Amino acid sequence: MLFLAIAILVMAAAIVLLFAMMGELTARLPRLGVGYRDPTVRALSEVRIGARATHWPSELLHLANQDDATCLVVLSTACATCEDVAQQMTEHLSRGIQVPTGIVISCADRRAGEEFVQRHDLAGFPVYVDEDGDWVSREFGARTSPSGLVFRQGVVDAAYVFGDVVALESAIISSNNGNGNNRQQNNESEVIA
Amino acid sequence: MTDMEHKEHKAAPQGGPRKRLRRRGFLMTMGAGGLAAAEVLFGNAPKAAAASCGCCGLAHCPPNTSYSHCRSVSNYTWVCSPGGNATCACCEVKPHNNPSAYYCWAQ
Repeated sequence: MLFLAIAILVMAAAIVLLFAMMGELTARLPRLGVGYRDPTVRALSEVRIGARATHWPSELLHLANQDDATCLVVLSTACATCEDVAQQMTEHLSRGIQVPTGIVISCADRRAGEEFVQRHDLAGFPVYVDEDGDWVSREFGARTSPSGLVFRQGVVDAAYVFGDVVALESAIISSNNGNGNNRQQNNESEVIA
Repeated sequence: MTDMEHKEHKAAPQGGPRKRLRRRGFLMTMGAGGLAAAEVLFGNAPKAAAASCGCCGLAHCPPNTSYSHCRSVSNYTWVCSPGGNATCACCEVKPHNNPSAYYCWAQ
């Protein structure tokens, strides 16, 4: 009798544990499965297309003087999506990037920005820690992350909101191949990579 | 006596009422202990569900101040877009690690 009671208790505990494990696993999976990232790349209307910065931080200066398209990825320490994008950036760098890219970290204070760079090992990129996002918002009007600002000879050619680094790069490359100077005309257009 | 009657006789509780009470007490203790352990182990909300602030990665999540208050003092506010239809404004009172709040809207 006692043995049976203990056996039932152990079985009940095992069933509870099994359901708890299934619940925990479900909670850890993103909505559409492991590793799923929304490949949508949307035009970012707040950015001033055609803007030219009055001054570039020394860390990013070399990106401003290139004929081919270059990209500034704008991340923020207050943006949860940016954590994932920062991780993608590191992985993407190890695979080899096709568009010269720099990163702007918008942050409440320099310490938080530098901690973000260190945590995601972004040292392989030209990185500018932008306190309050002052530079990127003043020069180009960008206040949204994660976003990608595409430049040609230092002029903003297009701006996108994205969640998948590969999709962003594909969008930039396809717009490059389409026509040389692809100044974004319709800010409401949607690019699906 | 048939076989069935023999089994029933054997299955009947043996020992006095005191022994029966002691056994019942032991089983009750085991059951209560099991429930308490399950409560401690699995009764708390998962971290992902507890810490949901739209697409914001705030110093304090869930937020510990109102969005209007956060915007009314020295603050750092940035917009995040998770890629879907919602967009959120994430606000942190300066200096860093002070109260945070957020506000989301459909695009």
